[in-house]
Amino acid sequence: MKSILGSFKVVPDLDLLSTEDWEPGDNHLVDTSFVKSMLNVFDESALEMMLKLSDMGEGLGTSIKLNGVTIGNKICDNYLKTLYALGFDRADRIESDGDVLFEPGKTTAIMKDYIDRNEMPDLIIMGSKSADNASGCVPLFLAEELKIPCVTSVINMELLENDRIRVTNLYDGGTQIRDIQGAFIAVIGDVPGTYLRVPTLKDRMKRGKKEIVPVSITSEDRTGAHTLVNSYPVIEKREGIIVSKEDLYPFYLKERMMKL
Amino acid sequence: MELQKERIVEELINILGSDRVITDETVLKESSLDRYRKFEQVHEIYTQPMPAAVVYVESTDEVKKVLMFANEHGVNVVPRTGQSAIEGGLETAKENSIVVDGSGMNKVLKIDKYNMQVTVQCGVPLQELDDMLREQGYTTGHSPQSKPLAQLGGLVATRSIGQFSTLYGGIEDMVVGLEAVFPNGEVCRVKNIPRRAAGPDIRHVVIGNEGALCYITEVTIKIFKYQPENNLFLGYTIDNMKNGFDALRAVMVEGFKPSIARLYDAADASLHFDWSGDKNVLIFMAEGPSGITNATAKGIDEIVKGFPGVDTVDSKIIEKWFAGLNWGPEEIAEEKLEILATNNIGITTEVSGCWDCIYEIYDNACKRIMEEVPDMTLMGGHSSHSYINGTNMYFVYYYNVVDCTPEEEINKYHNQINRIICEEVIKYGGSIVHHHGLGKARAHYVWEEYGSSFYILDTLKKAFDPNGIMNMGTLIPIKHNEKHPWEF
Ligand SMILES: Cc1cc2nc3c(=O)[nH]c(=O)nc-3n(C[C@H](O)[C@H](O)[C@H](O)COP(=O)(O)OP(=O)(O)OC[C@H]3O[C@@H](n4cnc5c(N)ncnc54)[C@H](O)[C@@H]3O)c2cc1C
Repeated sequence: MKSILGSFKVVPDLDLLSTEDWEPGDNHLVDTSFVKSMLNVFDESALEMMLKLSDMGEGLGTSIKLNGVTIGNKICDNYLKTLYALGFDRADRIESDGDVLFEPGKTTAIMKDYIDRNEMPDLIIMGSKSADNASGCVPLFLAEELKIPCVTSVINMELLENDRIRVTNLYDGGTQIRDIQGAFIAVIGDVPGTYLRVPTLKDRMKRGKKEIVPVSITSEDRTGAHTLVNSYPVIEKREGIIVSKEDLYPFYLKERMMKL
Repeated sequence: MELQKERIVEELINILGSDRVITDETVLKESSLDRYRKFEQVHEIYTQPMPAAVVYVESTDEVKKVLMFANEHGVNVVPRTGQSAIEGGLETAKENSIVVDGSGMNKVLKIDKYNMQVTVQCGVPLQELDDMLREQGYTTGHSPQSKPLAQLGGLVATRSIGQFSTLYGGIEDMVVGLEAVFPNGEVCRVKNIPRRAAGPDIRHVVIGNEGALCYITEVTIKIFKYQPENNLFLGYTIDNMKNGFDALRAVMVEGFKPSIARLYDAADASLHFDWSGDKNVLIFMAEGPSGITNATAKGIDEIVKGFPGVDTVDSKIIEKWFAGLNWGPEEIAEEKLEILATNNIGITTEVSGCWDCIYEIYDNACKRIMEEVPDMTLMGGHSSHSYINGTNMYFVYYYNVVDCTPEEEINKYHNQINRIICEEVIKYGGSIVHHHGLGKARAHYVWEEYGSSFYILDTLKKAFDPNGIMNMGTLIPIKHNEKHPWEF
């Protein structure tokens, strides 16, 4: 295991909105411009998990390069500096040329492009969804684009010898533990009580002063952006049969009721 | 001879009945400390002597009986109401103390709209009282950040101050009368009047006594008209912190009375705002009749813009930010999880000084702490209460607790930071406590804080509490390590 890429999003702290603030404005959007930002909670867990894997790597004598990336505006720079202060090797902000909110396809394409321009990491860690968009699609789309497996609802990861990772995820009401080798995307689910560690002021002075030069990826650069092929709703009906009310009692209920 | 725990509990049950005398071990442990030992508290490590019982009193007469019993047998009493103390005021410094909880004394006794005052029992939660008054078009004007937690007894006992203090004053400006019970059972009522010159103002023996002289059972405070429709907010960034203090001073000296006048340094501002970057932030709010608020806002705006390096901030941002500033039980619970997960803890220490030294106090203390204390992750602060002759400084600091047990944390970090702050404040002639109370921690600096006037405090303690049963260790320490006063 040589490198881990973690993508994260900076979102408005919606807990700071009062009941009246939730009234949408003329543009049908809730105005969150006045509230402080925060790391998206799932992404915060993801970034902390990256640091823990790196600590484990040190224990095993392996040095793991950590790379954090976000798509957003200047507000994100402080968070990127924090990652540098915490020992990340690289922390990039992709200046997006348009709003990627509610556009998981675009976000995926930008991320794919970013990865293509750099080297393919051994592991990609992403939060399961963002507080403001909540599509939950981006990691799955990206795995498809990169043609690598994707494990969802991950709650723990341990680095083992021989570059294997022991992944614990929630699955069908239980937990599943698997050892995985080879590149994959780990989608971090709900891991209550995980917070990103805090760098000291000395760490900030030493490592967190790097200037963040935004990476620019424009629409034209984007490869593999999803295009709309039709606008018909996908109908996912349950399998079953339609029973008329005349048939309901004699053919379906009567026998069952006799058994009661 | 000291009474055994069993005897104390037995007597308390005789006075109050068994359902109001709590001896459950978890309750006793949790009642042996407050947020001064936050790191121990979140780790559920209890290093202080265990109380014998927590008792819930419901009347002045019951308080009187409990205090008389304790006084007769030399049992330490720790009064409490909202339990939001942060300076060790609730620590049970002596084994087998009685924690006397007045939160059940929660009746609003009289809203006197003609004389603009409200009389309440000590356990009335401030949030409930103010919400109720606001519905009727009035307000207490008292709005500490702990409004959702604190109750009137504790608020008066600590000389608390609210976020609108520049207009309404601290609690000492609001209390017009009160009732208190002294250890010998004497119940004293100070009547409600606008002012008097009949000797010393004896309200001030009670206000700020921190439970070390008497038990406050009832208070009457002023009320004001509530006119939020006229509120105006102003916000600015300012390059230089010294200029920020000068701007605050100019606003006060020119005679303006905003309800909020705040100056955040860049570090502290970064906890609240995304837009402030490496700038300091000035915030004002004008409250009252519209003629006054408009004139206040206009006047302040002109003054502040006269300083170099000032940029205006959208007032809506300030208004919205301010609405979400208070702390309730949810924030406390969230904070606990965060501390446990990261070992990173945030603490505050508030001091005051005249205009000619407040910047030096702020600057020197910050520099020294960053140099002398390990593992600091944030060091900053704000001024939030200004006066004609000076202002307060509310130091805000965070650190990672590294390589030490929860028991060791207090001496390795918190006490060291407090020591540096107090040393700098004393050096410049400020006060080491602006509004949280001396509690038990900063009590170790009471001699430096009071100087020759310590005689008055000491005499008050000896006169009103001759048997030493009222919240011992608060205001004046029980044991004092001369060589290392900050190790306890
Ligand atoms: C998140 C947070 C924010 C805060 N913000 C502010 C702020 O903005 N302004 C401010 O001034 N303070 C603030 N504080 C400090 C605290 O809220 C105040 O000191 C408050 O006045 C305490 O009131 P309480 O009812 O919680 O008292 P408690 O915590 O129960 O007791 C506080 C002290 O008063 C004594 N006491 C309590 N009741 C009585 C009584 N009936 N008779 C005699 N003594 C009594 C206790 O022995 C103790 O020493 C804050 C605290 C927290 C946790």
